[in-house]
Amino acid sequence: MKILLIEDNYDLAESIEKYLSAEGYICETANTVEKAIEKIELYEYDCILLDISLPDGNGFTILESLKKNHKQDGVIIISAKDSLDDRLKGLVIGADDYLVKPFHLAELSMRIMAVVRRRKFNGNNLLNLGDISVNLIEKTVFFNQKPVERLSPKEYELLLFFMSAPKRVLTKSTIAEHLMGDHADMFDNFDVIYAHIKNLKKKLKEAGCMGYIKTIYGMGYKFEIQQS
Amino acid sequence: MKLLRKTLKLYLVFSIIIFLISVPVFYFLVQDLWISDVDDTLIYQKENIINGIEEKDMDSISIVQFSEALSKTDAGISITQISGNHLAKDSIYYNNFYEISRQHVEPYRELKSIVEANNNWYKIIIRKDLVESEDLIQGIVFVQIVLFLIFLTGMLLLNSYFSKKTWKPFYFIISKLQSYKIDSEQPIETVSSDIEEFNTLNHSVQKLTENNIQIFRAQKEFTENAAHETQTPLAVIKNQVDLLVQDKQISKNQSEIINKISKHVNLLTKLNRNLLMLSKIENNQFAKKDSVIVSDIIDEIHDMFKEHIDLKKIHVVSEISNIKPIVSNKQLIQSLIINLMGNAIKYNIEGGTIKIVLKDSSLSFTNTGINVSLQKDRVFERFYKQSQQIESVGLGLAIVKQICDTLGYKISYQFIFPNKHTFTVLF
Repeated sequence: MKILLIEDNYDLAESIEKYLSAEGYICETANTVEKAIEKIELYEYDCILLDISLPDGNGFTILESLKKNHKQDGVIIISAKDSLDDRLKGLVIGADDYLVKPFHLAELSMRIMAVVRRRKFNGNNLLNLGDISVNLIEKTVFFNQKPVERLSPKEYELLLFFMSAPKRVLTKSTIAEHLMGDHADMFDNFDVIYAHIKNLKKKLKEAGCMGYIKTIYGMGYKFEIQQS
Repeated sequence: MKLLRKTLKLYLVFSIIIFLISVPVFYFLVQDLWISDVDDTLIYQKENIINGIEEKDMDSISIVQFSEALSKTDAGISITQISGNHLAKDSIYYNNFYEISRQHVEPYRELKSIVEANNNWYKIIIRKDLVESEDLIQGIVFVQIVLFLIFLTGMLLLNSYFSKKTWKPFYFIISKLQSYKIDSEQPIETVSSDIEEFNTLNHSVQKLTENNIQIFRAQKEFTENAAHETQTPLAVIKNQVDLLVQDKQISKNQSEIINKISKHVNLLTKLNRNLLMLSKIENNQFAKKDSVIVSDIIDEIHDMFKEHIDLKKIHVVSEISNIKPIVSNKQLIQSLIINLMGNAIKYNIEGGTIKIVLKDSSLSFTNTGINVSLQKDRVFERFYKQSQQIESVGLGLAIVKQICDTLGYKISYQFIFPNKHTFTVLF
C-alpha cells in the first residue's frame, strides 16, 4: 500500500512516516507543491496525505491537478486550518477526508484505512481480523461466526478503531478524540471512555472473545489478536 | 453646559457690563456738552444786552424799566443797578428755582455779570433752565435698553442659526465618535467644512481611527496567526508522544510523564482552537444567515452529551415552548449551545439538574453547582476561571459572549440561592 505524504514540516512528516511504515505502508514524502505534482504524475498512490499550506503554494493546486489528470488516488487533507469553507472546498474538489492538526497518528491511520477500503475494496463489506468479523453495512460483529450482542454506536466505533490499529497502544485521549470528535476537549475526564470499553469488553466476552482488549497500565489500551 | 450656551453666556455677561458702563459715560458726556453750550449762549446773550444798552444809550431809568418789562416775561434776564465800583469777573453757576408754571423746582444755569454802562454799574443775571439730569438719565437708559434688547435678540438668533450652522461639522463628528465601534472597521466619515479648524479636527479623527483600525486588525491577525502557527508544533509533539507510547520499555514513571505531556498538549490545543474560534467570530467569518430551529439544535447537543450527563447522573428538564425557526448563523448557534450546555454539565454536581427553557425570544440554561455566585461582571471575560480544580482554559463563556455580541443578542448571568446558576440569552 503506497502513501504520498505532502507536508513541509520535517518533524511532522517524519513522525507520520515512522508510524505508517510500522503499519506496513510504503510512505513517500514531498515537501513542496512542485515535488508533489512531479511524484503524482509519475506514480500511483493508494492515499495522498495533503497539507494545504506549503512553502511554494497551496495544496488545493495539487488537488486540482489530480482531478484534471483523472487520477483515482484517495486524498486526505491534513490542515492546521479548521475552517468550514476549506473543508467544503477540499471535499468539493475531490478530497476524501479532512483532518485538522493536531491529530493522533492512530486517527490518521484509521482514516487512511477507511479511504483505502472505500476505494480499493468496493463491495467488500466484511472486515476480518483474527476471529473477529465485522459486517460494515449491517454493523454487526461475529466471533468465530458466532454473533456478538448488538453494539451501541459508540461501542461499534470503538471496536473498529481498535481493529484499525492492532498491537498499537491507544491512549485514552486518542480514543476520546476519536469518539467525541471536535468536542472531546469539552470535558477532561475519560470516565465515559472507561464505560464504553467496559461494555465492549463485556459483550465480546459473552461471545467468547477474551483478552483482545488489553489495558496498558497508565497509558491506555491495546488490541491484540489472540491465537486460539 | 453646552458649548453654544457657554459662549453665549460669556458674550451676554460682557455686553451687560459694557452697557452698564455706557449709561453713566453717556450721561456725563451729554451733560458736559450741553452745559458748555448753555454757557456759550449765556455769555453771548450778556454781550448782546451790553451792546444794546450802549448802542441805545439807555439811562438808568430806562434800564430799570427794561428790566422790569423783562421780568414779566420768561426770558430769565434781570438787570439791576448797583452802587459803587464792583468790577468783578463773570461767574456761571448752577441754581435751582421754583417754576411757577411747572410747579416744581427746576435746575438752572445762571450767569452773573457786573458791568459798567454810562457810568453806572449794573448787575446782569441771565439764567437758562437745564434739562433735568433725571430726564437725561432716563432717556439714555431707555435708549440703551432698547439697543440692548435688539442686540440680545440678534445675538440669540445668530447663535441659534449661524453658530449652529458653523458648528455643525463639530456636532456631526461628536455623534460619529459616540457611535463609533472599532470592530466595525470603518473609519469615521466626516463632512468637510469651510472652517480650517474643523477640517483639521476631521482629518485628525480620520487618521486616528484609521490607525486604530489598523492596530486592531493587526492584533486580530496576530491572535489568529499565533494560534495557527502553534498548531503544527502541537501536532509534532502529539505525534511524537503517539510514537513514544508504542515503546514496550516504558516504565510507570515515564508513562506518568507522558500522560502529563499529553494532557497539557490537549489543553494547549483546546486553548488554540478556542482562540481561533474567537478571532473567527470577531473576523465575521460566520456572517452567513440560515433558518435555524433552536429546539432541534438543543436536542442534537443534548444527545451528543448524553453519556456525560448520564455519568454524572444529571437530570435534564427541557421546557421548549418555541419550535419556530429563527434567522441566524447555524454554526454560531451550535457553538453557543454547546458551550452553555457543556458549561452546565462540567460545573454541575453529582446528581444535579439542568433546566433548559426556550421561549420565543429567550433561551436559558440553569444548572446546580457551587453554593456561591460567580463574579457577575467578570464571568464572560476571557480566561476567567470559575474554579481552580476543574481544568479549563476559561474561554467557553467568552465565546458565548462574543457570539451573542456578533448576533446582537444579550447574555446575562444570574445566581439563585442556594446553588443555581442561570445563563440567559435574549434573541
